[in-house]
Amino acid sequence: METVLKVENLSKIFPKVVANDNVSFDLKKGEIVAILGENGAGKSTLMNCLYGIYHPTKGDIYIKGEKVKLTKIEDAEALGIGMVHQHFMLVEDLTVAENIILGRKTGITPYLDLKKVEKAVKELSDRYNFGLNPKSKIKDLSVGTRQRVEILKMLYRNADILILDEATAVLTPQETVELFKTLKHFVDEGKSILMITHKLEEVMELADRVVVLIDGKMAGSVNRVDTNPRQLANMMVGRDVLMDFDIKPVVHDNLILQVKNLTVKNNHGLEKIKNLSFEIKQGEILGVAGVDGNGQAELAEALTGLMKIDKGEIVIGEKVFTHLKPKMIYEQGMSHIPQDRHERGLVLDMTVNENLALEGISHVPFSYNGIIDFKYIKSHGKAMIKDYNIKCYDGSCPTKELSGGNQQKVIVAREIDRKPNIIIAVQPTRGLDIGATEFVRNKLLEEKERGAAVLLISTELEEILMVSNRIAVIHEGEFMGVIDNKNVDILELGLMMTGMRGDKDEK
Amino acid sequence: MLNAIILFILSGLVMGTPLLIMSMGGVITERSGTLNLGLEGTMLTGAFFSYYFAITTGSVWLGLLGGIAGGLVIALFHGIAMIYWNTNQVVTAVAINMAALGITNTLMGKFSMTTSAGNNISPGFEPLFKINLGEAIIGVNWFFILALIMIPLTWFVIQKTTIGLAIRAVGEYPTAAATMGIRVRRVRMLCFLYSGAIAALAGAALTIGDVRVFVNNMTAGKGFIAFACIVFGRYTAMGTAFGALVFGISEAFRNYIQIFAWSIPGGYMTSIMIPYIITLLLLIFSKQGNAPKAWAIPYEGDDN
Ligand SMILES: Nc1ncnc2c1ncn2[C@@H]1O[C@H](COP(=O)(O)OP(=O)(O)OP(=O)(O)O)[C@@H](O)[C@H]1O
Ligand SMILES: [Mg+2]
Repeated sequence: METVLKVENLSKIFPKVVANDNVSFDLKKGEIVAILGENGAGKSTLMNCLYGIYHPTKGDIYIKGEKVKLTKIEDAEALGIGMVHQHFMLVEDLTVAENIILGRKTGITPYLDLKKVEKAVKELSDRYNFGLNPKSKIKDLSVGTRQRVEILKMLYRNADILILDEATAVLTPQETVELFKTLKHFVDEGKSILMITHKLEEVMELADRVVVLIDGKMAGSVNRVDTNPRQLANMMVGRDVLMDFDIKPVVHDNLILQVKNLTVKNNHGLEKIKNLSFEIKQGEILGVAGVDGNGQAELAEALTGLMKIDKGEIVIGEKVFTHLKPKMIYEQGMSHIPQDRHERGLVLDMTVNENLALEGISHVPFSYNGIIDFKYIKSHGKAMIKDYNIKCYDGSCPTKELSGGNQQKVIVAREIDRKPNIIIAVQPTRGLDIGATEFVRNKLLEEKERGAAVLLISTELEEILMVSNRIAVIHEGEFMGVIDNKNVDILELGLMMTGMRGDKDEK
Repeated sequence: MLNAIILFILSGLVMGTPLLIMSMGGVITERSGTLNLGLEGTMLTGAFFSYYFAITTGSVWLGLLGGIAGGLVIALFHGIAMIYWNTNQVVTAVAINMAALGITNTLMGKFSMTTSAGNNISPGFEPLFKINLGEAIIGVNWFFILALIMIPLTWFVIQKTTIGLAIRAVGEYPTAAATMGIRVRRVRMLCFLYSGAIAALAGAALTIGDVRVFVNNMTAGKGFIAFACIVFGRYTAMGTAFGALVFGISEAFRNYIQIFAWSIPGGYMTSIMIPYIITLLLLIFSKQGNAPKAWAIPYEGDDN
């Protein structure tokens, strides 16, 4: 088979970090190669070098046999390379068609012939059963649909070497299945794919070969048929990752968080949470499963004061609230690991230390009477970086220079470290490598055993099953049922996710 | 009555011509995500140099070119500092405006010493035609026509061209635009230079297009009013034009008060302030927002 891409001894050195160190691998026509590695191993950097965004410090890149120098993105595009980035690169205020044509002309004049683009996009979308409306604005689309727009962006530019940087991290299992079908179709058409993922079962399902990176260096390259998830994990982390958790039963009776008849409307006046009631006891994890877009985001935002409560009340301990503000949340000892780390959780331009201190900054011990204790912030940051294994040269590193997974670790560290009474965790392990995922799940269990009430919202059913005491299934803003984790029936959970009411409802 | 309304709108348009032109340039910069508070200084520079070159060369057209060149130089410094060196956008604009004021004052001082009284009237653009409205005669020159053309043209460029699409994308989410091969800083800089040239042209409309003399600080805050019009117009060409028109009409209104000596409480002082008060009220009571998401945020990415 023809080799479409070859990397030889590539190194990329940032001023303070060696991100890639002498990496060599190749990709053949019609092949899928998975790139594995812990958070900060240098996967995204490597891909950015292949897409002309970063320039390698050393080493050679060959495309279809020719040695090339990729000085800018157009160079890579002209050679048929396309990339879906770790974070969405879509302008929310523009339509699907506008996002796809961005940076290109529609004719010889600068006139934007949107009709023509819309037609072409529609055809392409139909060809792969994407079901996209070229006229919809990105901000109105679900996460899975946005991912399809990203893929269409590559196809529109006739890419035949596709790079996917954690494309499944934000997808629901159903959406992932759809995506994989599409990817297999691409390979049948003769395209080649480089994919980064932290999910080993995805590697086993899709990849022909696996390249493992450790600290920027090649740790090895294996054929899928010669390996198994356990070996891959071991290659990557250097130990076995068991994901075997012990869910201790709830021993307390007092209710820490009660939600009574909660109704939340979105900007368009649509009810996204409908008359929802539930409670969480001290030392309990309630998992909320469901297909993305069924009110999970709104539930988390209403509970953390980011969205207005339309009706109903929230009882925290003894205190009754009918409206909440983000500041009150902190004062009530509530922690929030948000769904979108860039929009809600981090200030990317600030340093790691500053982000770790962000919420507590006006409180002891971060500051006394309004005077910030920089020394404490520094030592606190240092301890957090060590405890949570955040990969950066030190706490003064700007957060935007961290790898995606390490940015997520900063949020998790900050939110869990303050010993909260309540933790609202939305997709807390999104983008984390398997070692870090195990660590965070263990942390949530530890916090619960310490006495915190945890609301875990996740579209990964597996994650919910691993750590929750009770599991609620949300569908169109309502709970279809709340089941004790001891007597779950996966099939029933699946049905509930599609909107069937469970009969094992506790109330 | 109808006549009076037409009179107001028309004289508003004429009075508002420089403002209209300038805000149509400005809206492009704002859409690309750069805060342009330097319109005032750029306009003043354009006003002075067009006047200066018109007198020294004896040609209005060379004057116009000179004015635009002056504005471009200012915009070049201002833009490089903000867009390439990521300086604070407010502070930089304050510095630019002060520099423009100082430079034009000094140069004008020197220049008026070399010219004798009576020779300080520059050549100017003649009105293309005059509209007789009974009570007043309004002269219309081609700046006015240009202003009228610029409104739909600006809308068209922003909404209907690939250039406009790039401008919008760069203002909303520059990192995403960069991944599509758009040079974020280059787009922002070109927009900035364009609005600088247009602001200078608007300045020329004040001098060689109207009174034919230069007076220190003659722009009197028009650059900031243009900015207010853009915010009021929710960063759209049409909305901005509407804002500029309202301001122009209130200026016309003020002139009527002064010319016909209508008595109003506070007299002359109030009348001077009318356009500004109306602008302020509009800003306070209008529905605001819609600013591009990356507005006034320097781009940190790698491209050049
Ligand atoms: N622009 C940058 N400037 C400086 N350092 C950077 C930059 N981008 C990445 N790094 C550093 O390079 C290393 C590799 O980062 P990279 O984003 O490639 O990791 P990754 O393997 O994609 O991790 P993840 O799984 O978390 O996404 C990290 O230590 C990161 O902090
Ligand atoms: Mg990455």
